[in-house]
Amino acid sequence: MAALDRLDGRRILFLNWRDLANPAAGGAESYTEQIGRRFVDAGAQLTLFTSRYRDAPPYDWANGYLVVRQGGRFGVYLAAARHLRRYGHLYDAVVDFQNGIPFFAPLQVGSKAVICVVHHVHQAQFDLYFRWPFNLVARQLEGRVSRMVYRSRPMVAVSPSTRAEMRRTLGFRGPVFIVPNGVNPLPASHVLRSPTPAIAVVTRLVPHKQLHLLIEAVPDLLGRWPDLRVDIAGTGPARETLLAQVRDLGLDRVVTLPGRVSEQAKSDLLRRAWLTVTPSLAEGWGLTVVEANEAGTPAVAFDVPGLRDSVRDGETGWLVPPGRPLADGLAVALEELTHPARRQLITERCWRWASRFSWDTSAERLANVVLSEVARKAQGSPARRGSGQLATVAWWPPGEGAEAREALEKALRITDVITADESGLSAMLMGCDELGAVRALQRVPIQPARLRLATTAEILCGTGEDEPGDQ
Amino acid sequence: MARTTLSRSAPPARATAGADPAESADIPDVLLRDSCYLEILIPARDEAKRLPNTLDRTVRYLEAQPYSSSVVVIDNDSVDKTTDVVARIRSARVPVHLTGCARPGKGAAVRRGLLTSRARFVGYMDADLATPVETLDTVLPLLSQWQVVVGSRRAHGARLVVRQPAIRTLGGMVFRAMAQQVLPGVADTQCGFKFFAGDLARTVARRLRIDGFAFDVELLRAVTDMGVPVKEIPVVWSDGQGSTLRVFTDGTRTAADLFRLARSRMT
Repeated sequence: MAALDRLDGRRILFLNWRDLANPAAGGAESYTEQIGRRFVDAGAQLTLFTSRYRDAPPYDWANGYLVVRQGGRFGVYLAAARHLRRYGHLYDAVVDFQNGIPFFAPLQVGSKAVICVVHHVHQAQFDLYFRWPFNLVARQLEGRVSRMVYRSRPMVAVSPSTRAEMRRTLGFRGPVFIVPNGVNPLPASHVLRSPTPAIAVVTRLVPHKQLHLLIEAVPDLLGRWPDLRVDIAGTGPARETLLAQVRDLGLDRVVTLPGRVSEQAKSDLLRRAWLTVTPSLAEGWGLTVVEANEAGTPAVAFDVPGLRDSVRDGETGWLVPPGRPLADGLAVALEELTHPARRQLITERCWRWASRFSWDTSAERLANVVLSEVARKAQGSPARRGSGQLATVAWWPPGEGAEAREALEKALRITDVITADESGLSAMLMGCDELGAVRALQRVPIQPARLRLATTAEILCGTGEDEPGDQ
Repeated sequence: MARTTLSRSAPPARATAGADPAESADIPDVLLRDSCYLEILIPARDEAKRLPNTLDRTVRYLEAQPYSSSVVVIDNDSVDKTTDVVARIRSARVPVHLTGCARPGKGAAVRRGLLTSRARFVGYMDADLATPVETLDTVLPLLSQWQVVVGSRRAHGARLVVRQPAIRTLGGMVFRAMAQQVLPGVADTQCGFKFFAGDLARTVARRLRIDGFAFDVELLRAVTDMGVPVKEIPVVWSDGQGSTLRVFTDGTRTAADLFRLARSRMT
């Protein structure tokens, strides 16, 4: 892989408020870890600066990179600023993984390449975590202050809906690239799909996942599917409440909460199930959805940020308009899945969708953003394609592409994506419309046979569709 | 399926898409759409919610017409899934195209749509269907005689189904007073329902420069400057919720654009 190789010897600092060893680590930490590990494998010299937790050593070594832990939940921001002021000059690039509040690295190392990664926008959530006036302060830090500090520096969003929130709610005007989450391969499972309707959920049981809505929907479904089974695996603060709810509704024989399960058990559960359900109000992405898809299992979710990107409505799952009863969506899904041919088609689509995500590709795409910013800083050139959301796919039929290919490599930007396979050569030009693409490709000797706008899914995955979206 | 990602060197600097004013001059053939009798342009910025219904109604209407037609959605740098909406619409008789315009502004989007069209008649309407598509029943017969037919909320017989908020009514009065200076004789320049003879629209669009809301005035001015009269027809009009118009920001910019237009006319 190309860009990753060019990280060889680069010194890079990751800022993330927690590391994967932290007991409270979640999806954001595993994103940082997975990508960091691949940066190191490519030869980069990586340091992860993070906060301390109980009994954690201040210096640690994880998967080939140095972990520096200083400061607590809030002190980490000051400690990071101190670290940047003292050692900032040692790094070629700084990647600031913000978790609501970024580290404001440009204030300390303004001349360096700084990239800010956003998982999801926290504006609405600050009220849950902070009391007045701290919620207001947090909102300003994530919005107005970030906008002033990061200005036109490249940002990275993990999904198109996070990008949309960054534009709409935070008002970021600069370039926002998309680097999705990869998927962790599930252990192989040999269990067969259940002959009777089964729903499986494997996730951390926290209140905002709203799993009580799933349990609430079960009585309605039992009329039509009396042999329905629901497994809600995983543990977390909401587990007790959910258990009580199951008891109150008298669903002990239908709904089970087995608690924390092994990777193998998770794989078996997801493979056996007809369906997984993610009733969250908002996510940055939908890791559990794609994990289920890996097992060939579709998902039902509300049509909310994050999940509307990970669930392809009508193809790999069903999106329920928020506010509508979850039971309605589940009924539609189960009904469709009773038809074997339909289920087979959906299963294959789920596999294909999940296979479009990998940590290797994600690391490559983040490396692209890092390298292009390092190059831009070195040249001091402000020139940059428009920071818009559109992307254009240019396509050359097989055979013709070979000649275009070399010139294409020179004409395109490092963050653009070129793919070559038996169906032809295609290039995805980020941040430009068809006319912009024609201009960009002027120096390529053979003009593309077709130019079209990329769909949201294509921008997310960085590759073209494998199939036309047949129904 | 073997896929390879190729390595690339650092990219050369490139001009921002659409930054130069000569964008209209050189639309390459690959971006031109097939010819048809009527092409409807729908500029859309973050319209993923309203667009499905609009497209549905428009396509259903066009399918019932005897002439050939197509619909073109011009994605004006939406952050939502406007891009994906179009792929879901299927019609055997009426192609629905999607094209992009990275340059922000309804004017820029419509201009791009006009310049990439080869249709006999071409025009544009709002993504919220503020003017019902059935208005075409009256527009098309007139088009062959008049070359330019525009919907008007001020022509005799027009109806406002949903009232506008007061601030927009006030802004509208100021706007109309200014527009009258530039374009006397057209009572309502801003109704988003305008249809043209294709050749006329393409000729005129090359000269247009305004990206914002004042582009309607510039467009109609350019038409009348060629000696072609503008035919106004009354429409039933409802002000959709969730318009992208921001009264203050857009109002200031529009006023500046109009002022420039008026000045260019004097010199």
